[in-house]
Amino acid sequence: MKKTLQIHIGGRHFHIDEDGYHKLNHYLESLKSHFASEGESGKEITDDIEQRIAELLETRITPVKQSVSLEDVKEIIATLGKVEDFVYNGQSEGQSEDEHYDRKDYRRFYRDGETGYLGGVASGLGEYFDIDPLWIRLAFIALAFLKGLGIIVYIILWIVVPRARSTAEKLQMKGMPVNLSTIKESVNAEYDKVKSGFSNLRSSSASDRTRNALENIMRAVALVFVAIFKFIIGVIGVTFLVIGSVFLAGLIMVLLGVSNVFDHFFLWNGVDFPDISHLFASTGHYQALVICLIILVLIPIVVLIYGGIKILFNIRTKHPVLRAFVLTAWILALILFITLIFANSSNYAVGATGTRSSVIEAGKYPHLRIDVRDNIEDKRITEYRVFDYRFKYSKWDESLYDKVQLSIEPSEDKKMHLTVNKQVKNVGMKDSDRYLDRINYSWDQEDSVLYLNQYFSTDDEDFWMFSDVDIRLRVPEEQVIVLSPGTCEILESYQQDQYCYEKSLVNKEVVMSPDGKLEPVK
Amino acid sequence: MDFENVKAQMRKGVLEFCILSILSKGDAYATDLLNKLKESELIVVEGTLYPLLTRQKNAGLLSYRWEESTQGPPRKYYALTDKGREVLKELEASWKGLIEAVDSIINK
Repeated sequence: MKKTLQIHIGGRHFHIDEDGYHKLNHYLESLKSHFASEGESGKEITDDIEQRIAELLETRITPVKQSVSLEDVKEIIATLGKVEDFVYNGQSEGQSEDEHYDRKDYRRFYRDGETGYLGGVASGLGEYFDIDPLWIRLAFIALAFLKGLGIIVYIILWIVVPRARSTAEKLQMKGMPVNLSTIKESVNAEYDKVKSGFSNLRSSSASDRTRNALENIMRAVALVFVAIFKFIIGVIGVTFLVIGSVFLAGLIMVLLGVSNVFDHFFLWNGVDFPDISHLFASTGHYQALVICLIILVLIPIVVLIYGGIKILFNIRTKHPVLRAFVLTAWILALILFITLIFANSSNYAVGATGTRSSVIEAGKYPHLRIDVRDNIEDKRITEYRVFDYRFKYSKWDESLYDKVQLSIEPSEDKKMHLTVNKQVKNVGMKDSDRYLDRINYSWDQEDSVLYLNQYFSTDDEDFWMFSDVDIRLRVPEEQVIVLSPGTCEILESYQQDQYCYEKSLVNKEVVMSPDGKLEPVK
Repeated sequence: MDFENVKAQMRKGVLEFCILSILSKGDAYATDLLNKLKESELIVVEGTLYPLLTRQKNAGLLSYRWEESTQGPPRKYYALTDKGREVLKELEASWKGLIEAVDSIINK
């Protein structure tokens, strides 16, 4: 008894012995994979040949012999000729061209569906790099412990990388040249495998059948997972698209000046957004930086949108040149951006300090009273926050106000000194003097009262200087002073604790003790 | 030098010429062509014919139509186009010229 299969070829049905079928199928596959490169014409050629095969098969069927045998197939193949025979005769011209192409190493990354366990990513990579896929599997597992990175990478590759289906693709995957002899070898190997698979099947026992049932269940489970997976992919695609579009719209609005997105972060109404171009050595640097920033932001946005569209519509096109170009552009922009930041940061990471000391004449009074003027009382003040910096801004004189800090220390000589110490950060060294002059602070003495302003001011354009003013009052021993309640507002925190809260020296006559602390007069 | 290749090239050229020539005497389907070509031993393996037919069709030398057959499915009948006729004329001329030239050299 022999097993026969029914086939449909060239518009006709035939019964064919199993071994004959495999031989014929293998022959047709070898033809198809050869002519596949010719597209439509290739299909036409193989269709015509199938037609002829059907005709020839028909001549072999007799009322006595109803099915096609392996021998018949062999004879038909001999009549039609092996691929290499007739292609060599008929197409030597085209073929020499083909060979020229094929000689190049066309190794490409495909998923290997035959030896792979899951999606064939690891074994495909193994083929690509010519290493044992075991190592790649281990690497994926190791990466999976890094916050699931391995799983994500695997899934992405599973989606993105096509599976090697045709013989030519399988050869490319292995880096073998795609020509007739390799195709033939590969097809033969496949044939042997299928054949041995069939002989296994023939001896199928009960246990094998349960295994098959199990396999079917697994396949069904896998299908459900694939469906879920596709849904998730769809969601990811939509998310990419939405996020990308929102960012793109935001970027365009900022560039067109329609809406200043910074408004919402900085709460900076009423004050012009500071012109940070001050900070750069040249406007050229500043413009380059802005362009870099736009590229750095725009490319990921466009990639997000494009990726979303690709995922949603299942587009599998690849533009390696474009991809390399975009990646290079982004990296170059990043390098330039960082370089510009570093080149310029040396300019403005430097601060500047200016100190002015004055001697206070107080000897002729029984005590000197230190009073603090609230010099913003009469101004309309709005408070702003930029990151951690708080600014008091007056619309009337278009200035920013900030508190000074007072510390009271012992004097090294017999005189009383008031030192005003102005500081600016983020200013180029060469300009430091100029910037220090833009900090306004005043104090004055009226007889036995020393009036200190509570706030110093700077022009609102100079917000980026991050200016600061410290005042030091150096008091000689034996000099009696009185701290007004307002003084507590500007005392540095330690002295504030000591003199205003713990000992409550406010409005009392105090004197500088030898150990450098104020003490009540005994 | 690869003489096999030279022979193959010669055969291929002649084969293309003969296909056009057979079709000029009347439309035919692939099996008719094969029978004629095999009779005159111009073709060794049948597979050779099909890529040539497709190529000539793509070059506009041939056209085909489907015709019902008394036995089996419809058959693809090939016919010469006007362009095919012109090309055939040229080929005939150059073929005759070649034969004379080759004869004159060989028989000297």
